[in-house]
Amino acid sequence: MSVSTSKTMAGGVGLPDKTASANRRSMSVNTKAFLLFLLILISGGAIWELVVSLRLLSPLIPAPSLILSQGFELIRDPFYSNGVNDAGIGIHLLASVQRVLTGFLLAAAAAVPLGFMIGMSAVLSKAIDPFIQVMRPVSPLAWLPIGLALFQSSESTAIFVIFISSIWPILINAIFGVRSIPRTYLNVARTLEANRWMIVRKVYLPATLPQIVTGLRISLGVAWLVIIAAEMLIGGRGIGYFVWNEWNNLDIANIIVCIVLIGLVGIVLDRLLSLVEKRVKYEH
Amino acid sequence: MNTDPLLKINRVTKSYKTRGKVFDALDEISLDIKEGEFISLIGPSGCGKSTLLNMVAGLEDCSTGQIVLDGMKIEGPGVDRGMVFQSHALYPWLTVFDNIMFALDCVMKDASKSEKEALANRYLDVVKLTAAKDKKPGEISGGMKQRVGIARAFAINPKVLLLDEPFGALDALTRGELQDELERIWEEDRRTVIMVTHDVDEAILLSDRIVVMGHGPKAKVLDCIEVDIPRPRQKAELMDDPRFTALRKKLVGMLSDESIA
Ligand SMILES: Nc1ncnc2c1ncn2[C@@H]1O[C@H](COP(=O)(O)OP(=O)(O)OP(=O)(O)O)[C@@H](O)[C@H]1O
Ligand SMILES: [Mg+2]
Repeated sequence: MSVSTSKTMAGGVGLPDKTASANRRSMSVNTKAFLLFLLILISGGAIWELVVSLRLLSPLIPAPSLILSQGFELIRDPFYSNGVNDAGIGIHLLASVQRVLTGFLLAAAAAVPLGFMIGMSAVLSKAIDPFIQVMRPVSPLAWLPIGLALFQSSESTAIFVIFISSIWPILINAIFGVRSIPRTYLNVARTLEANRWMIVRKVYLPATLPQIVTGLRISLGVAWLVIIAAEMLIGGRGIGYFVWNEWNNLDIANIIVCIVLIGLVGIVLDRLLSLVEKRVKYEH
Repeated sequence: MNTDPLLKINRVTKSYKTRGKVFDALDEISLDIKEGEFISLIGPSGCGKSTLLNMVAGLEDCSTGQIVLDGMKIEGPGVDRGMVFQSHALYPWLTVFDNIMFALDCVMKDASKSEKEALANRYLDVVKLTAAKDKKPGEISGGMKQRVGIARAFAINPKVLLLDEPFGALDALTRGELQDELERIWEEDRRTVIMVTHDVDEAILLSDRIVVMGHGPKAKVLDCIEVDIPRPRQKAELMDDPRFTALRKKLVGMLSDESIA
């Protein structure tokens, strides 16, 4: 169970805050980094614009200026709706977020208690481990046909796929969290004759909470990755479907706008859980 | 006064099975401890002091023999024994105050909240930690953590206190301070205490009797030495006491023989 690698996955790429030599000049590291960010953004955009205007790329690839103007068009009225097939991008995004949250919360509700039960028994942990090991590396999309067969509804199938993608990181982190509680924490409770319920509520839960929230954070990230692909396959509504639809319209500019929006929503979801993570953390 | 021993360790052995091999850690340990007695267990590292203490705590089973507390055979952990762990073992997600309250909540199920809070405050006062009561264990020093552990064990009012190298992880200065403090707290109500220690001076300062254990495997009790130095004892004064010097010499001699053997 490689929890440490997953942690860095959730944490993202972090740059060191400050280095002594970076403070030599008057500008702070943050200001410098921001200016460099702008430089890369603008020069990258300018090169792209130039390359497109020189017709060096496939004619399908739009220039940044076109992407910008279409982007404004897309987000100007994000929540308009003219029936099933003509709805604003906000409505699609919301539909995706709603599916992700539903599947994710169902997975959390199942995996946290299950992880506790499994983790508290050495035999169960060992018995369940092979199942988890086999299931974990499988792309959740492989479960999509099974979802369709089970539910015969695209909405339930999407939620089912999210449920499956969310459940493994939460389950693994809950089991691992419970298994790695220091023995003395339990011995203290035993010498005090704490009952089972008290031990679960006052020792297991707070002790494993940081690990569980890390699992939740990884899950939500994975779920947000998976929903796009799932919606491309299932259709109907949702940002993944929207992207696929724009491909059918050969509107690459809109797709690029979507990519940026998907990234921004992903950041928001991750930040929300990182706030929770900070709250439940404790120092040994 | 009742002269029966409060705690009777009766021909207790302990064998561990690891990877098919049997390791006999303790060999027929017998020991009677009277109510109000302060006992130290001292012996070479790995001889089985913690093992013996954990068996009294009920955290480990005896392989053969039995331990009887107040007429009842010990079958598992219980609130009649309070344990101070070497690694303080406080819950890092609870404040100092709440760590003690957790113990009281477990033990005093019928008491009111204000009763328990008063008790917690009283024992925080005894170990001089009132000012730090709302801090988390991660925010206080090692010596303070150990004092919380002591307050927690005392607060539940057990028949026997079990201390496993309570000051082992501390620097000499803090250790000396806490030893004097433990002596003072113990003087107040003379609980029955079993303390594991590596420190000969600590054992003499605090104990009525010092149980010297031999090296393992099959560790035995080599000797039980009475400490007939009147109380209250103060570490600083003790150093010049000829009885202290003689005892110290004897113990150090026994222990160094053991670790060579
Ligand atoms: N769970 C276990 N399984 C196998 N052997 C063990 C186990 N616990 C302890 N032992 C062995 O029993 C012996 C006594 O261990 P114990 O921890 O009681 O020693 P100790 O006297 O407390 O040592 P120290 O002074 O270093 O704390 C050691 O040889 C140790 O290796
Ligand atoms: Mg030990």
